[in-house]
Amino acid sequence: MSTLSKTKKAAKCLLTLSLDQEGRVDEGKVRSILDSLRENPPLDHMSLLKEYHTEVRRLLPTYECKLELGENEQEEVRTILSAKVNAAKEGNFALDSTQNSRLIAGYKLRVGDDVYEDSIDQRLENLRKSLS
Amino acid sequence: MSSITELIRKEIENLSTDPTKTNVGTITALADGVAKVEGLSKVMFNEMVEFPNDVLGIALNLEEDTVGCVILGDTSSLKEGDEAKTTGKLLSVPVGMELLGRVVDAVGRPIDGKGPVNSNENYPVEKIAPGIIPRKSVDQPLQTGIMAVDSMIPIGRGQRELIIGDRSTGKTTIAIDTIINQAKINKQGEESGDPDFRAVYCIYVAVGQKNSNVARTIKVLEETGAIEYVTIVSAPAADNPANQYLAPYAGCAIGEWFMENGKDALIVYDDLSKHAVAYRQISLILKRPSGREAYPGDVFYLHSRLLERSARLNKDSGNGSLTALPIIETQMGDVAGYIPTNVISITDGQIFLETDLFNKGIRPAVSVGLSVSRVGSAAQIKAYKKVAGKVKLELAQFRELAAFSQFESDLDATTKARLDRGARIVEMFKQGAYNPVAVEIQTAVMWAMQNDFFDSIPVNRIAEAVDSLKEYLSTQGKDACAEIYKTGKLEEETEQNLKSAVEDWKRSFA
Repeated sequence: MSTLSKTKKAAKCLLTLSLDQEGRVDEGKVRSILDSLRENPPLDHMSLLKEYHTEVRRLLPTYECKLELGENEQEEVRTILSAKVNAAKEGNFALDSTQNSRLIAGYKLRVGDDVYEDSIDQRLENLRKSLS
Repeated sequence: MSSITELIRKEIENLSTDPTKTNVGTITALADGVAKVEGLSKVMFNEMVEFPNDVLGIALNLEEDTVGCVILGDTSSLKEGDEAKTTGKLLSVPVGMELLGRVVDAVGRPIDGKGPVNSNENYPVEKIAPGIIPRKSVDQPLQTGIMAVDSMIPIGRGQRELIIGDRSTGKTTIAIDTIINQAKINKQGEESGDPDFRAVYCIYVAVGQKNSNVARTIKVLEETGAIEYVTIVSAPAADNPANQYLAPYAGCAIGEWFMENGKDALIVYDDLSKHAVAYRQISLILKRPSGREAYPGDVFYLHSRLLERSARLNKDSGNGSLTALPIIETQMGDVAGYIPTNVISITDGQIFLETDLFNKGIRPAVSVGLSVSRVGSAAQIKAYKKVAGKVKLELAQFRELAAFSQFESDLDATTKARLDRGARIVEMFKQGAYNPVAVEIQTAVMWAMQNDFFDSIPVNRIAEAVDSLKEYLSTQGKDACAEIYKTGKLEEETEQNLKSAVEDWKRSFA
């Protein structure tokens, strides 16, 4: 097995150790792993950290939810969507919501790398495509 | 003005107002027309991916954490960090009769300045070839109009016949001649009003060609009036490798439409060596493991899955066909190269063109010994089979004897007769470019050769005599060939008419 493969395998093991019971990255566990690595650095410390970073970065967005709302959207929309996402994903997700004036009206919800969109901006874009 | 507003109003009415779901990713690296995208966890192999500014790409490498996409078009507007979206669609091209007479690029967009292609149907570029059940054996001829090919290496509808040879040996000319001949036959058939007549529509795929060469080909097709039966798919050398890789598949999809709708089509891939090179380039950039000559491991499958899509379908499946004429350029006449041997083993025969013959003025420079048609002879018309049966053997014997006899001063009568006949046959097969000959005239000329009408003419005047006879048979002696055209047979009565016509011609020629 090459050094790179060994490092990748080790990084995956570290990632497994960083997960909580629901399979999400636990900040506390990550901190303790980093502390122990600092105290007892392995030979390929730098490359292991890089691989570990890649693995964590890859997993983090899969349960990250970002919500963009149009200018006049109400708190009510946020609550409905939050409930729907939590029901669909069987978990307790906190929606990170922002205002996006470009949407004009409607919402854009990103869960991991899936994007759900229902906004005026998207409809105008569809119209542009159908006419071009 | 009102029609424009009406158009926009209709579009708004038909616009879907449902929420959309897309899968997105971020470009992490972009080089040589290939983007590495992080995310896109639900992308499918060969799916179209949308980048900003309406740039499209295809997902070709699905790795654990990244997706390798080849970009179709201009990459200069893209940058690292840009968002990529899945479209849920496979790459498809417009198909149908509307494409005839048009020049399109690898994704079916018109590039001839004649406006949009008004086609209502699209076919996926990648498709599984027809299986065993809908197929039928090749039993109908596809006349190339080239005597050397139609007599010795006949091609049938649904066959895959490789045209192989070094650079500048007339490979493209054979393909273009065949296209021109199909147009001639189509026009003749349409004029005759025969309900059983089946036109052959053509697709010419130019891969990695110089733009000037493609322009010249288009001009020839326009001048000969063949363009109305032809669709040209162009991915010239200036195009990115992704387009060059896709063009043959796009052309094949256009051809498949004809086949699946009960029509006959002919597709020319000019050429598959450059196609393999474009694919090698993409594979190396995608960091796929390379094998012999740095080609990726699936370079055989690249061509086999393309050429297997050419077929003759049975009656239950519509009776259509797609004939393929792939072209391969060899280096220094080496047919044992990697790509040439691959394509030779996939196709149903090959027309090998020799540089030496070409330089000697024997054009088309078909090498009789190395050329073969594995299925086409089953499709040859009876009359032609009768007169051309022995020609290949006679010519092969001539080539062999000619090589040995050049050191001999005293030759026996049999050898001399064979050499004499061979030299005449070689002269008979000489044919100018873009001048295909109708099958009935070819049959008549071959018949005249087999019945010793050319024996009294000096060898250096045979080519002139053959041209003169062809002209005679298409004008004054038209009736003598009419029966062959109608029935495809050479009955005793037809032979008598032919004899008197050739005798008449010979008197005038002498």
